[in-house]
Amino acid sequence: MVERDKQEHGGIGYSLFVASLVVIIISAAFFVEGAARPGELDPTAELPHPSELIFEPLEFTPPEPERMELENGIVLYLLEDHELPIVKAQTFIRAGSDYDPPDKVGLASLTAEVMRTGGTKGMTGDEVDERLEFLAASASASGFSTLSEHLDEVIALFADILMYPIFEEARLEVAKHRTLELIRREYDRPTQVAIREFSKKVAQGHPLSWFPTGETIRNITREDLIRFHQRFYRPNNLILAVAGDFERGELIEKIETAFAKWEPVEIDFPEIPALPPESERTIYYAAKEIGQSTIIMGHPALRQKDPEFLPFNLMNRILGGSATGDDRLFREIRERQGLAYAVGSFVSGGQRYRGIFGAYAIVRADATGRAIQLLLEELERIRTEAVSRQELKKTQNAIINQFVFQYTSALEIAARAASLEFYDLPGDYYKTYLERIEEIIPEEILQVAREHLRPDEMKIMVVGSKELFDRDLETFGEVVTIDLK
Amino acid sequence: MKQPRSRSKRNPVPRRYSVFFVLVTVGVTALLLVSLAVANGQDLELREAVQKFILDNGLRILMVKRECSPTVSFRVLFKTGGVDEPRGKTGLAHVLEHMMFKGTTTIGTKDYEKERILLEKVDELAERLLGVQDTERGSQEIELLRQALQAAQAEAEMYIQAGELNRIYDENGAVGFNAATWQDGTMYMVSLPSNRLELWARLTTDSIANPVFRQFYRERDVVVEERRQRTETDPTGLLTEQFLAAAFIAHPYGRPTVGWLSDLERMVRSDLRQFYGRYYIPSNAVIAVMGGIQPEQDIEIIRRYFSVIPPGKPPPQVVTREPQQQGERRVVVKFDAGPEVFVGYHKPTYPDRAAYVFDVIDILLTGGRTSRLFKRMVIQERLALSVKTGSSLPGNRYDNLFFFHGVPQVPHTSQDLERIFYEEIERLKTEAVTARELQKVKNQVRVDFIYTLQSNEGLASQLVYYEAFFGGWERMFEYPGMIESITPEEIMEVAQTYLIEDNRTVATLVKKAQETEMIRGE
Repeated sequence: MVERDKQEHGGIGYSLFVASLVVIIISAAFFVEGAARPGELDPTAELPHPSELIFEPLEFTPPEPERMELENGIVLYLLEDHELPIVKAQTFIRAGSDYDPPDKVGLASLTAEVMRTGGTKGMTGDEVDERLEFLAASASASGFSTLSEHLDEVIALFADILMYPIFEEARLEVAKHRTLELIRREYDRPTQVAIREFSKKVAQGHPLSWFPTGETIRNITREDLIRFHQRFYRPNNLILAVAGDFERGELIEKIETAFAKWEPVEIDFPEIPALPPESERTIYYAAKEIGQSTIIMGHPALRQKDPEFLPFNLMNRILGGSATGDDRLFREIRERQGLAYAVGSFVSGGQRYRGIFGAYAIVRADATGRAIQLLLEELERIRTEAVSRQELKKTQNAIINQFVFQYTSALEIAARAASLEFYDLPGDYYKTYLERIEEIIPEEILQVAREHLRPDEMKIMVVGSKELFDRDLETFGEVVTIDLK
Repeated sequence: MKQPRSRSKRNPVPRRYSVFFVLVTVGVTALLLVSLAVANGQDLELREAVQKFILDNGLRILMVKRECSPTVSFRVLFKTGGVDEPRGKTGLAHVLEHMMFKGTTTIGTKDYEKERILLEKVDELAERLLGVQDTERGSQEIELLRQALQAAQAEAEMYIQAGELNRIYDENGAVGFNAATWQDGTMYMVSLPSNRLELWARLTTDSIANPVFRQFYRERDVVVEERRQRTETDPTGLLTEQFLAAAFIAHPYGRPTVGWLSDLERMVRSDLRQFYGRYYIPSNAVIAVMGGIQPEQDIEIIRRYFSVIPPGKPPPQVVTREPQQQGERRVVVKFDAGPEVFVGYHKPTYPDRAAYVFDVIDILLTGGRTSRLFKRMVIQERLALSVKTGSSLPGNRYDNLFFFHGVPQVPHTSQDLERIFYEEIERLKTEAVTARELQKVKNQVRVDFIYTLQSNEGLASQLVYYEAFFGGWERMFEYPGMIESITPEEIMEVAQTYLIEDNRTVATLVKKAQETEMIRGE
């Protein structure tokens, strides 16, 4: 992954509705409580209640990726896995949209794309396409994936893409024109409009609120791509997680050889502007002639480094961020009231700067006011009443029991370890994770909600057709209309 | 073979996919169609690891033990989808899927006996209300009934344990707890820590044998919102619905799985009970259990629970066949969004050999940056923002469509894209594919297959799919050989037979505001 803190939060194609739960990791042997299975079931009797079932303990020692550093500064996280003849790699490079110049928004993403498509040392873009597709492999700024039998060739190609991109003008034009067409169509889908306009308001002044426009895209030239590449794509700015069917010694040698000529250079990372300070609640309305409204409300929240980050995340999970629909917003607005198919809350980001908290619902137009009211009420409730011990315990159990799913893919294990280093988090961050989760008490949830969940300061974005709304949006505060055209 | 599979964020390899008409309940996940092929020998090992069990009630269970983290993935597939709905009842299969999450006689209730009586009262009032609305009697009576219905629902809800099934799964560490309904079937999915297998067996048996469709009228409203979100406010969703409705005039593939709005609004709980009774029987289902399991021991647990489900009569089959198309059909949809276009041709499904040939054509045309259409339309001539093809729309239980979908890039139009589609079809008919180009396609199919084997979720979905629809899970391993055997001559022949004007349906989306301008421009 090329670092795209921003893109993941607001770029084209980004979905706020993918819950951004924290990744968790442990390295010690791991147990889930329980005892032996019960005896035969009498088919004529009632089924036992689920709470009566007892489970054998799970014993599992998760694999540990190996960390090492090459001479030119490339950091590797390696994990062998020989089940299938595949090798996959994921990059972590600080070269994301955070570093877009404000008048050239889109530069980071075009650079990454055209590195892959615009040719490399001794090969045109067409030739790279042809070769990779014949091997049925992939290689780009964000990593590679290949059958192990083609590993040598794919690593060499991957290294050339990172080190010696040509940035053919024609391929840059293809990428720019497609981006321009996406921009032309950005108002075609109401949910997309809502996410975009919400991001612009909630992160005003910060790169999270910057989106490419016709102008910023047209401003970008091949020279810009070359400069951006030279500035940020350096071995000392690359962490590479590799997993799959390889032998560690051989792999290290291959990577060393492929990147041998890449020289480290001190990188001057640009200062990133801060997220906006607290302000009054404002409602933003964008008109779209449809029978359904998209509502998103939120504000900047915490950093992952903050001690209250975990209690805040747990609070979010109880409120509207569960994996299975077992949370308050889902139960109230979807199941009990039948108002929405999509409803929930999220905490996104928080690695390099504060994350964003948001709550959302997509509801029929004549229930827009009611849905905003319900969302606000649920936010208010969780910041004024302590959650019950039972509700908290259930959520803690869910996190603990889900833990083994952190280990279903070798690449994910390696990449998770790499991401800790990438985000300057302590190496033992996840080793103490479950303990910290278990220690959280209802009062802490209340405290963190009271302090860091502030409905009065939220930006509330509504996309829909106000003639059909059940209430005036003014009921909820000052309304600003956004002109989409 | 092409089949739906949960979209995996893990997989970095671009896959050809189609998100049309697969409805997923809890999340916003879409399903996609992937192709399979042969692995280096991993397929042989895997093939030997598959164990199949059939219970006395006809339920089929596929189990695979894998070396992995202590997790297990479950798939329950019912061979029942949108195509099985009677006329006027579209959306039933999907609403039923939603209702399966509402609990049972023992899960989700405080006192089922009391609740049952109240639910019957709700039904009676709801059906009376529909009756009165039909006769256009006084609005006062309607209002009174509406109030009575509200009150009865509120009373019934006093006895529910809201979301208990979700809570049990969540607390026990479930991942990917979800379900999907499409034209051909309905699939329920969940993964758990492997020591929770019995919990899954307990809950799933109960859901199949003793479901209670509580909070039905609320959930129906949720599905209406789902329809608005996916179809009515989404340009591609809307165009797809109209495209299929035009392409199929007799076969139920022409109807939306989410249901027509008017059908949804009139759906009652007794429709659901009837549909459930007819189709949710053990011999109409296939289950897959993959991961850190002990098949010999675990099958006994599964047998103990699932044997409780009584066998049933085999469900009725779809009898309607789509008559041969007698000339091109064109549809225009006006909407507040940029233009896009669908072109589709009727074709046979598996096991007809032409279906496999179309899978190859699909990759030739749009599988990757070097594919014929992508290279020409997106890279070289810059006509399109995107271009897609697919060989199994909207399903593959019955004869289906090969489709092209294109999104033009200013200043080009849908007509420009159509023209290139037809030129490239002509090329398929008249020029033999080179050995190298065909080999590239076969390589991609082979590697795609290996990627499919990576996750328990992916493998489980594939196995139940083949077992349910294509005459046995073993067929999964025969597919690569079929693709391997396809010749350039066959591709030409299939293109000449099916990709012809009289067999074609074209649907275009036209931006509302630009409508007059466009007509003038012509």
